[in-house]
Amino acid sequence: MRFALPERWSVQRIVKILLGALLLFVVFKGVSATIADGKFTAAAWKSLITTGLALGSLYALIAMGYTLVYGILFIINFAHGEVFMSGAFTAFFVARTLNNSGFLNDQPIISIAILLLVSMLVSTTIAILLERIAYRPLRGAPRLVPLITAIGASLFLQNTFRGLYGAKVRAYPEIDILSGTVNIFSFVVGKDQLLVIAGAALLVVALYLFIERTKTGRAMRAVGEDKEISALMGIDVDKVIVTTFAIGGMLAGAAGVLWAINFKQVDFYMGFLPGIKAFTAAVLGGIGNVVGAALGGLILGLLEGVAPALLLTGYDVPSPNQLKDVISFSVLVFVLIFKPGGILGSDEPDKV
Amino acid sequence: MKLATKIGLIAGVVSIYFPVVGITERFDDRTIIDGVLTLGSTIFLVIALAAGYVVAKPRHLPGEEPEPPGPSALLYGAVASGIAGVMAGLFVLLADSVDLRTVLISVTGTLIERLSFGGSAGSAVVIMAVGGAALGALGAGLQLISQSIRRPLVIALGAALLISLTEPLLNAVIPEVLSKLGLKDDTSWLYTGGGLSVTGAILVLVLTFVGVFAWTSRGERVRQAYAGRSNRDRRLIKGGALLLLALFMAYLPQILTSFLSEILGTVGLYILLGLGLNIVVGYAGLLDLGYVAFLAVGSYSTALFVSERSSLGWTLPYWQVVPLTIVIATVIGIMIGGPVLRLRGDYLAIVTLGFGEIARVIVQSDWASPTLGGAQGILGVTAPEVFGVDLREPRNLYYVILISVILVAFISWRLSRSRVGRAWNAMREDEQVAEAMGVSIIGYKLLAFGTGAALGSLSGMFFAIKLGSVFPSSFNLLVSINVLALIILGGMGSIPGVIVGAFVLVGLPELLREFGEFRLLIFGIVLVSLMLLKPEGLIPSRRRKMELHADELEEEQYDDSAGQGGAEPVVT
Repeated sequence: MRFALPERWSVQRIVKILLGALLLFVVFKGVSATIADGKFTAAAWKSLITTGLALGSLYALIAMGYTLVYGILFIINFAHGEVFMSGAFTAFFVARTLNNSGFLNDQPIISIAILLLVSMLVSTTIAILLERIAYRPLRGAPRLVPLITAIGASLFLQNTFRGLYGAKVRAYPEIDILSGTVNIFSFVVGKDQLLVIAGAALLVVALYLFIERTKTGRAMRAVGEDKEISALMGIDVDKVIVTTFAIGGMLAGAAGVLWAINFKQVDFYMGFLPGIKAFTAAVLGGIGNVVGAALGGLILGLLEGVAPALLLTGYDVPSPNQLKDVISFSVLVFVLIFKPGGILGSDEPDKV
Repeated sequence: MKLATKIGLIAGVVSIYFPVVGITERFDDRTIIDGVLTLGSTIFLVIALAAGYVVAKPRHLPGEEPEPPGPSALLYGAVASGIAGVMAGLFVLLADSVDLRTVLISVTGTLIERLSFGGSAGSAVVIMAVGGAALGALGAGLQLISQSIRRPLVIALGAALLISLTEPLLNAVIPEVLSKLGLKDDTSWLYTGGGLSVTGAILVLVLTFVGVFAWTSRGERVRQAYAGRSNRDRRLIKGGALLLLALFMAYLPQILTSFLSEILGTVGLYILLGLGLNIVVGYAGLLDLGYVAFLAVGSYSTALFVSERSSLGWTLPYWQVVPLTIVIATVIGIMIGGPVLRLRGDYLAIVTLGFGEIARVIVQSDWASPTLGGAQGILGVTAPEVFGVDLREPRNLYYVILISVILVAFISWRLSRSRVGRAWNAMREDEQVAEAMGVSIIGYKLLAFGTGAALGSLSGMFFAIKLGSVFPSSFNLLVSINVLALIILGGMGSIPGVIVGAFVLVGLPELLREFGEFRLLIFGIVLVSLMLLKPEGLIPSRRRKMELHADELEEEQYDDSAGQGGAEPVVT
């Protein structure tokens, strides 16, 4: 009994083309129906876009951690979402303390700097510990093993934070200078959103320069190409891997602070969904590629902000925002079907 | 000495971790030995003992003979656990003087009071340091005594812990058994106050110690006698043992309360789920993190076709619903698996995770609520009647589930031995080589996915019948994680492993209500430490073991193949 048709029949290609056409048709019909309907004003669209951009820059920051680690170790650091959560939680406690003493609103810029510093420190520590305890002993083990460890580590971290700080959703203190909006090219942008977008952009550019211009960055790329040869060339592979995790953790910590500032609440489960979405973003942009991850994050954020309204309203779906997660996961699935290498990656499905 | 300090520091962090997360206080409600030990304090004892034990463990370079540990090991053990004790004591002191409650919600007044043993926080430092050092020396001492005594001792301690923890189960069963035997149904000699009594503890310790001691000194002969038999005989013995086990399981509900039968039914459902996922993950090596989706498909399609209150407006009899549901689930499984099976394993994990979430979000959304009932779910799933027996009654459902488990276990055992099973194995170990050998990768992956989906939907069906209704909140990611964890604990690809895993990870927590909120935390620890220490699981299948410990097993493998002429008598 044969289960699959030979490759030259290329049934897969036919199915792909049909599926693609169907997808395009569905999207086109939904979008045109929504636009013809005219339920949303231009201002509403613009606000959806800015919300999406802010969300997208956060995804981009978290996605850096996935993409860097994957680029070097070829494992999915499933617990990365929890590293992000740890940053946000730390930011909450620091901000609350600063708020209680009044320092938060007296010296907002210094306060945000402190927040970032402490959270990044905590997240970095957790990321490094994660590598040391959960991943390093398993280097060279069969593929599934580190992935299962990562799931275990993720559960462990989540529930540790729950045990330490409780299961409640905590409200994040407001920072006065970040409330209110500014007008940029007729887009009404919240000041907090502006901080998020600008901060994320700055960090991503810094990371890009670090990887492209510094010696450590070059070492990272070398280890990603070939660990053994890099070791022969005098690169301390373990150190480079730790550095990679540390950088990922640092950016996740920063993302945690910015997330808390933007959405103003934290809880122990908050790392899960952004974690998977950021992974989706990394895949979308081409995993292992820093620019791709940034691009993927922005696109995914925009899609999540705009697509429920743009696509689903056209089909008269009640409360389309409930389905925004479905859209982002569908994006992941369709990317993997049509362009598994991602936007900036090679098109060959990876088969190491 | 450096090692002792390092391990002491780690043990110290661990022993602070438990109270800070809230485990200690919660577990203190649980008695291990009445009036002597609670579960909370047992954790500290185990940490201190283990630290001493690990420090004293003889270390040697590969190829060198290990040096037997000398009396200095006692000192090192004491130092390690002493350090841990001092750290824990200092933490109590800190918590006593500074109010940590605003940040760490679990550090309550009662906790600190308990940790200072009723005295001042200062005295706690001394008590913990001294007590820790003593326990550490004791743990190190375990390394000094001979293996033939150490093993029974450790097992006896473990058995006492287990028997004490399963008190709600055993304390309900033993009186029934006793009264059936015509004895007085009094268990106060064994259990008092929700745990072992002092006499009970001594009894268990002594009996297990003697039993295990006798087995280690005599058991070798029994094992040799068994190995000396012919393949046919061994298969007979094995079959007989399995039959006895099945009969025992069939008799079990007669002596169990309805509550315990229900727990058994839940365990059975998870065994079914585990067996299904085992085919996908264990045999074919495809990590599926969205397995709950198939449980949901099974439950919802059963509810839709059976319930009079579902949106369909018409109903089907059960004997039509069963095959229909399985077909629907298989088709959905292939539809989900199909597009992404070309990709590498870890992508598949994330995509299936995504699908699991999609299933949940859609079911809960307003969009699907006219068909699937939204957050209210579907009510009124009538129980099927077989020969006038109501299947909602836990005991009756238990039998149906038991029969299904046996059937499914048999099928997946035969599958693993078949051409298909070998193809799956080859694929799991090396896809490219398998493809080169003529295994149709996509076809076999789809087959694995479809089979897994069908089995998952089968348990979904029982799930709907059991509850009599279907709610979206039952189908969350935790179910998937739970099933995955039990497979990994038992050993991927191993059928007895799935069964044991389900009892340990599903049955035990049901009995230990205290574990409730820490269940996932414990899962996390179990998953990580298993992968680090024993990636093949508790009851590994032979193939899996070979894969993970290729070099160590090589010799044994040659011996086996010489002795058995290729046939494998081990049920995996």
